[in-house]
Amino acid sequence: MNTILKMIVPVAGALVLATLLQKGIEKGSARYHVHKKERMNEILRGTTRHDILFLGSSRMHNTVNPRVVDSVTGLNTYNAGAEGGRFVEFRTVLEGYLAKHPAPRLVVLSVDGHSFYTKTRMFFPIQYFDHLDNPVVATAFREQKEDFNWMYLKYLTPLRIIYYDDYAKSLAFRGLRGSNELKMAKTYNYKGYLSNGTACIDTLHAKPYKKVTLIFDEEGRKAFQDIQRICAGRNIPLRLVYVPEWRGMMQQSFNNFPQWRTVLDSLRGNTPLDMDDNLPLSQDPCNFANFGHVNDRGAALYSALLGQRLKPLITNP
Amino acid sequence: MLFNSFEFLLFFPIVTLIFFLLPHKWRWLHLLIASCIFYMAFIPVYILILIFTIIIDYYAGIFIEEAEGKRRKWWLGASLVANVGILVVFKYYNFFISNINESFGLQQTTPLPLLNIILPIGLSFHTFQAMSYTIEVYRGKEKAERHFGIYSLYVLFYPQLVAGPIERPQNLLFQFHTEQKWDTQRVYEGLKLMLWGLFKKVVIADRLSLYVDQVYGAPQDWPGANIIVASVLFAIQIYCDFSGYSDMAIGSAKVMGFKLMTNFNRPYFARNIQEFWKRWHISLSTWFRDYLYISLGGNRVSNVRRYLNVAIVFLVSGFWHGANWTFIIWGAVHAVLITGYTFYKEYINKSHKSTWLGNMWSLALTFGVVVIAWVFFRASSASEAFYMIGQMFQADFGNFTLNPKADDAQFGNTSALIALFMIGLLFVNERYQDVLQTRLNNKPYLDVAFNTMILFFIIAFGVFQRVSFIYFQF
Repeated sequence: MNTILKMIVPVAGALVLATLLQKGIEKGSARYHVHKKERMNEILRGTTRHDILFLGSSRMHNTVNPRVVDSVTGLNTYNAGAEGGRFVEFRTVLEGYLAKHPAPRLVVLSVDGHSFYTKTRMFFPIQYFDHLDNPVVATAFREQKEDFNWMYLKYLTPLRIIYYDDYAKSLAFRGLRGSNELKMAKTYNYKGYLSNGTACIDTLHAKPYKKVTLIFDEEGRKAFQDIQRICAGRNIPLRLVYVPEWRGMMQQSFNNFPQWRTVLDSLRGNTPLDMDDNLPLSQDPCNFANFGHVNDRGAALYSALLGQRLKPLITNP
Repeated sequence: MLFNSFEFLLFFPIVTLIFFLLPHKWRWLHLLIASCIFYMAFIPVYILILIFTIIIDYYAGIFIEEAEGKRRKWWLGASLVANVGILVVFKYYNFFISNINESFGLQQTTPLPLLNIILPIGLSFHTFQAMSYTIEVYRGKEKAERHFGIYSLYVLFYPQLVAGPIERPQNLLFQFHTEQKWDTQRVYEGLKLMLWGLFKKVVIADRLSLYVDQVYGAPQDWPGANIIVASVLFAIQIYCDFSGYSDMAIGSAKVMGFKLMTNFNRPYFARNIQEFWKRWHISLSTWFRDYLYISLGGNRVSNVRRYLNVAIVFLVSGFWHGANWTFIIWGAVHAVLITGYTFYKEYINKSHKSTWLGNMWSLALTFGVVVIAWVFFRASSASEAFYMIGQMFQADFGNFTLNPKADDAQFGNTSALIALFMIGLLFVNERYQDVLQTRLNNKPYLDVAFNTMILFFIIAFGVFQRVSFIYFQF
């Protein structure tokens, strides 16, 4: 065989195989991540008018159930919480949402210890791959030059596979076998909300989390201020909330939580903040799936309480 | 610029193509500019350090050659002081000062100031390569290079600039003067080597690092059995990481027609520690043999002195790797192992007869002690290394689970299965290298299929996070 051919064939062959695998993985991934897909489609392509938009990390995602809030307030709300998200990612979600949707009447942003962190700018980036044509998403990826190569993502699609880690590949494989994230976790979703199930914290065996020091870098601060600026620019009232945690266990795992509060207070200005870390429901382990996340019962209790608090803000602004 | 980066994917073919399009007389300049761009992709200003040592060593080489008597020694001394001085300032100063501050209790009173600098990438590699030049000129084994550009290229040649192989002037310098012609077969072999190196780096080493980093990041959280698994995996990781880099360096040089020295020769198939060091980081161990061990007297001294010299070489080698007690202890462990083995071979077991079972036992024992020594190399402190080794000897494999503490998303069963399969492939390829190579050479279709599979594995199962090469830090 000609030596030049011996060089070309492996490249062509590997690219064909990678393309086939990539197609399979994308298909499996779409089947597995039914909730994420539906949520991203609503946020980035939907046009429904929502009265309240909830933003935040998994602590918002699993905590505020729009079904409960809607029934308490009579409004139409949507939970756009993103698993593992930080301010940088919330900004992308908010910008992406506002590009198509009418402005909501209120944005409620959940803040927590890790919100200012920016090393991981997108916690689960592959959920955005279907939306690379969206200018907001494209900009977000282009800004992450060190983690993502735009050429691979946009034009050399077989090479997109390199951004699926082993875990994401295994989930895609499960998707191809007919499973999905809701079936696996025996849970349900509703308007962006993802239920955390009904299991309680095992208080006998629960151990405190390892202590970590929170980081508040410039980029994280800027992203938070951008969110405030975007809301102000569209005349959308913004409200911050610190959602419940079990007996302050999250805060105890941070070496510098008071400093976090000082930084947040210095940046938020007049934006109201509801610290809901000390509600009575925070004492009951049967309201929580783990230290930082409520379960279905806790979500129902808290959503009702939050709905009652927010209703007058919308009806009598 | 990393070999496993998108930038290099563009850089390498462009540089190679221009190299072959240019007439020979301009190629050195092209490679020199390309090498500067390659190095400056890390921290641009550090190129000045290299320029400084290049100027010193270039003139030192000429002066050594032209001078006579003691003056030759002075010029050699000046070159060595300049090179070692830079190493001391950038690599060892803070280590010495912080130890002085601690030992004399100056921390609380008037601590000596530390330097706030980042270690230039690959400093120990190019410094040692530069030193080998002036030493060889001094010994009269190499003529001083009169072409400043060619000498600069000898130090800066991008394939081996930041992590070796640490070349010798007699092997590399003349190659820059020789016109390299396009040879399709050689280009193919070079690319194959690069592919295999990239496979070892991104498919095996970087995947294993996901597990190793978790365990070594918080060893107190992990049972002894997991520490053993992580340590064995680290042994494989560091081999794949470093030998992968060497393969890519040697391969990329080969594509352009340059032959770099072999750096690894299946080290984990060594049956004793002496053999291990003849197979591991060959360019460094031969550097220490040629320039330190021989300078200390080599084999022409008393036995006690010879053992001492070997111990000195390994201690210095440990210190070469990093300014930390963990590296010094790592070097000391190897010093003890190698002198112990030499003593055993020379005085206790003179007439060694090898059997299959004996060989297997020797191989396992050698791998075992090397793995234990790697704990010092990888642990963040000496006390942590001792703690981990203690835990390893109390390991209970009865209830072993791969990942009892960490996030499944980081390194779960899928990662473990892929890693096992790829390590198996590595083992087969290394163990049966000669047989496989002959088969592949004889059957081109099999060769193409093998390379297609490796490239596919790189794309499909590579870990493309921002993981640098372990040896870059040295």
